[in-house]
Amino acid sequence: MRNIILTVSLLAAPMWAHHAFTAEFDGNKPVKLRGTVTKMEWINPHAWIHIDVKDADGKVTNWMVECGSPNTLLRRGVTKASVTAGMEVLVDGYQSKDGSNKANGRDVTFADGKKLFLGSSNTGAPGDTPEK
Amino acid sequence: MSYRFFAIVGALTLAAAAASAQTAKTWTAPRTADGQPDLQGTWTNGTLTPLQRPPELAGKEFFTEQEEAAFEQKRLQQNDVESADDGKRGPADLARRAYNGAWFDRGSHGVNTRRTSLVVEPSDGRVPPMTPEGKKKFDDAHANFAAHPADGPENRPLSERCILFPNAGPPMLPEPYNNNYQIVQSPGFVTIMAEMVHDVRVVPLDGRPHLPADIRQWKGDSRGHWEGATLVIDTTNFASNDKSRFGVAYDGFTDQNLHVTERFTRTGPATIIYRATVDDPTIYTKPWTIETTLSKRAEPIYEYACHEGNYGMFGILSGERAQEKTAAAKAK
Repeated sequence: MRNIILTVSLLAAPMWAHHAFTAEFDGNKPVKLRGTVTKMEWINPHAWIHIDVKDADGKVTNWMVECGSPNTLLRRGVTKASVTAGMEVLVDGYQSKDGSNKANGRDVTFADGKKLFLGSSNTGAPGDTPEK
Repeated sequence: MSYRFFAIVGALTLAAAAASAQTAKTWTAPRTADGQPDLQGTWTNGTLTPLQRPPELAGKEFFTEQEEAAFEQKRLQQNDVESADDGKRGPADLARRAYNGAWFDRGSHGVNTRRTSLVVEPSDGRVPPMTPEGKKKFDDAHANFAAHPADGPENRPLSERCILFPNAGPPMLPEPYNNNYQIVQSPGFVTIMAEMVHDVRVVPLDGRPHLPADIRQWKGDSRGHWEGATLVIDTTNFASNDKSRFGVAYDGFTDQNLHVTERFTRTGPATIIYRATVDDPTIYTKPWTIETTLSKRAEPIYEYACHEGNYGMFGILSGERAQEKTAAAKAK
């Protein structure tokens, strides 16, 4: 039984998911961006972090990084105080298909190594432990 | 310390135990001021249980307690992609690596019944096959979508357009996140608001007929009545387009003949058992029924003003235009 459970395949790629990743971002363009937060937009349906990224020649480019639903972030304890202008972050994601300076923020890591959107098995949110 | 003191403590302890046992055994659903069974509050149907039973679990309708725990652990690991991240990035692995687990909010448990799928009828836990006509409509829709993925917003799914999420239904199906609802009752009406995307269904209970057949709505036209302590909602008059209304759970299809019957039964202070039967005779060879749990939440639902900053739609359309430009340049 154990083997059966472990082979259950549940993460099928949905063709018509909300903001289907492959429609908006380019799977062939993974990006790693180190930059300074200029602002965070707490908007629906997804939050966006804006960062200034300096290249080797010192040229600064502003990037927009898509984050999860603000409602989910809030339930996970992420607040306006969690991401503020001036913070240094490392973003690991994929660039937009239109080639503009936008990326999805799969992982956002702070200078001290802490991950903002680190996956968590149990959010501890109310309702997370329904009665059996 | 007198005998009397112990007698009093003993009596109080017995009384407390008796009261507690009685509460557990004789819990009855609370009633609203006008006598309806009370379903009010904030609820979630977030769950790790998949809509359809995976083929590997064929013939297994329920997990044992131990199997359920192993399943939940495995599913959480799958959701929590970060824990399995080996740093590889590329198109082949996108479904698994595009997002880490923090984007999702499915809760930490399967349904209370330990069922292996949300589909309970047919008993194999799978959505029944489509009719030949249904399959043709489904295939045509897919072919059209493949040929015209983003000519304009109309080509995109209803959720991306902020029109309708499967959470609102009916049937009310869990999505990867924000699976929250608020139910409010007033004399003669039950109102259900889904957090995604503030879709509200106002359900009259006075026995009035459905709207005329030529009036079509995304969430259909709902009419409710009580059968004992169970709220039964009958919904017809669905608007249809060529997109699935089942979201990430199931890439399916329905048309204007869709008829959904939902049953809400409060079984405890924090639980409503929700059943919904999907009947669309043009598309499916037989009706199918799902069952989920609505668990009470202590916190309110939050604003989800989907159009507010839907940069995603802009990104999808501009991405498609950029690809067209690249393809045209290559063709020259």
